[in-house]
Amino acid sequence: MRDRGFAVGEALLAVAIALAVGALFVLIADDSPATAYEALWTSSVGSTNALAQSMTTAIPIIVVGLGMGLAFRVGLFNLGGEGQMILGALTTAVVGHALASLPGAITFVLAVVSGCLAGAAWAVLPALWEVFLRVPLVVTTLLLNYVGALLATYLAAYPLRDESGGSTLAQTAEIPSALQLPIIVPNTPLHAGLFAAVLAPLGVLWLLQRTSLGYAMRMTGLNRDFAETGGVPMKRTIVTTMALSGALCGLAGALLVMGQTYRYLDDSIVSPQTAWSGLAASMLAGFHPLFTFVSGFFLAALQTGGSGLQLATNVPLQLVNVIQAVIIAMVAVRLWLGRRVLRR
Amino acid sequence: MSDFFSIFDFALILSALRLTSPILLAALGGLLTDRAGIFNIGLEGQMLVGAFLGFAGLYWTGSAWLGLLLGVAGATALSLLFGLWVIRLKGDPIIVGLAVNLFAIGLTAYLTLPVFGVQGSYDDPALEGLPRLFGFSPLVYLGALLVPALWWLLFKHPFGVRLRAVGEDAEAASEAAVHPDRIKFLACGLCGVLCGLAGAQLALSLVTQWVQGMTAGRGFIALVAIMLARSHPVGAAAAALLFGLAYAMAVRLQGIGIPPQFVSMLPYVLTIAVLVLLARRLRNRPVTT
Repeated sequence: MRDRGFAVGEALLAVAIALAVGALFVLIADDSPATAYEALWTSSVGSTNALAQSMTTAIPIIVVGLGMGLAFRVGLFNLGGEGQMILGALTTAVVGHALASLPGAITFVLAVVSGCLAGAAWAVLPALWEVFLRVPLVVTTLLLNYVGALLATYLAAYPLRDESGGSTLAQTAEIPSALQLPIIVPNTPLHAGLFAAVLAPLGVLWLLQRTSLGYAMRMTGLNRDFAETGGVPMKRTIVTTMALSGALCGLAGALLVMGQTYRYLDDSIVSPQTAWSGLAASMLAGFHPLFTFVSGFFLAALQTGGSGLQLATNVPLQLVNVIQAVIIAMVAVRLWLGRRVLRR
Repeated sequence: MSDFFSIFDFALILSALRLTSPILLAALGGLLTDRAGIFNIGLEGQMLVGAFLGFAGLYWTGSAWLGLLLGVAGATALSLLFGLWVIRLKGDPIIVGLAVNLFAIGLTAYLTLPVFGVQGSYDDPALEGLPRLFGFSPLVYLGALLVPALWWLLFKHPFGVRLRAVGEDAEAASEAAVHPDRIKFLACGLCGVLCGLAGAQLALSLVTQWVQGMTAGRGFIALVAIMLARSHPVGAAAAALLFGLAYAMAVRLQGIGIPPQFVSMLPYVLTIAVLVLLARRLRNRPVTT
């Protein structure tokens, strides 16, 4: 428990430093940090509606953060959460639309499962290259982000484009209403995907703490050589971990489509840096699934506040991306300290 | 099909050489940090800052050369910050490199509005980029000259010997009275300079404009070039040429009516394919997952 208290203190320190750096950037944009942070606060948690908006934004961030964080805990730098999430979102949108004539429940299950599978496939590929060819997956997952994003844009702009509404944006057709997650707080965007964001951390925690696969995963994360000597089937553990990691990222994309956009909307994931917010949240939480929920909400509130910030002041909303990067840089130093303590 | 073959002409080679240049410059920079034992995924972010500040310098002063200088200074500062975090504060290079990239994306997107007064991208036809000598910017020639120069530095000069010693075994190197940290910082500084030049080639020569996120993964492609070449300058140049050719082909294929997004995938798909097909070349090098 003492360890955990330490981590919370470090996380708060990282956030404080990042917000201070953010204040400097507000000064560059020729505005007052007090006004900017007040606007950020008001539009992120200042009212019921803002709070619900932040919680809605948090849903995919938490789930994609759990996915990427799961791989990181096992010592696998899955930097491809973005591409995995994009393919999950696109697949859910396309399958949901294509199977609209089936009974609602069947469409629902097939659409969600296919979204997870698409994300998993995009993560298993680099895992197999890593395991059998020793191609570092940190590089291939990064490159696959670009391939995934361009592939999705191409599909949404040409073969799968929604021609009905005359929209100028590249987007697929709307998913059937059976697939659209119900709003749980009236007059706000907050949808039933929240339950997934609550259950997923519990599921990951259960996996890590209560199953033999989770035990193998944790041991691999602590010391790969030691785990292998101790009988952990390394190749299988790496591939399975990446599959689960990618499936969670794909689920995050599915939740975005079913709860917010109701279709695959081009560039609904890359520009808001949803996947990277998720990773930042996971790192801030020390890769603990339950704390990821809290830090995910915090980073989502920052995102939501960023839009309000841009409306109320002349501070661009990308301020939150700067803050997020500083948080990761600060946490990077702590991660290493944690490892050193373990080694000695 | 005849359309496809029509893109292979002399102009394609010229365009490939221009597009090779930023990848080559970044690869040569990253090769130095790699030789010092630092796996550097932050090349991408350093290039992006180089491109942004390079173009901002041109916008402020009207001189592409001063822009180049500013871009190089900015990229170097960021690279030294990366060095501080990795060498002194002992952060994990991959996570710090990721932070560098995200910081660069956020920083440049954030500053676009206060600097240029618009969001996204900025372009002013009155602004003139780097001059061209026989069709190429001076940076293309510089990149070509740096290949033998870096080979000499790495394998013939005492600095190169020390750099490689530090990368292979920092403790042994420090016993031999080499200061590993000093060498590593120097490598980071030089890497920043080269990435700044790479960014300047993008924003001051290939095009003369600022576009948000305009490096678009070129830093990661440069990283692959380093891996395939096992950090040898000549091999890195060969790999960079291959990827430059892919970029040039992508530009031309758009011209014959293939959808741009589809064609833009070509450099990334090719990079992954080469990485997987030549995976055996990667062995014997320190595992960097």
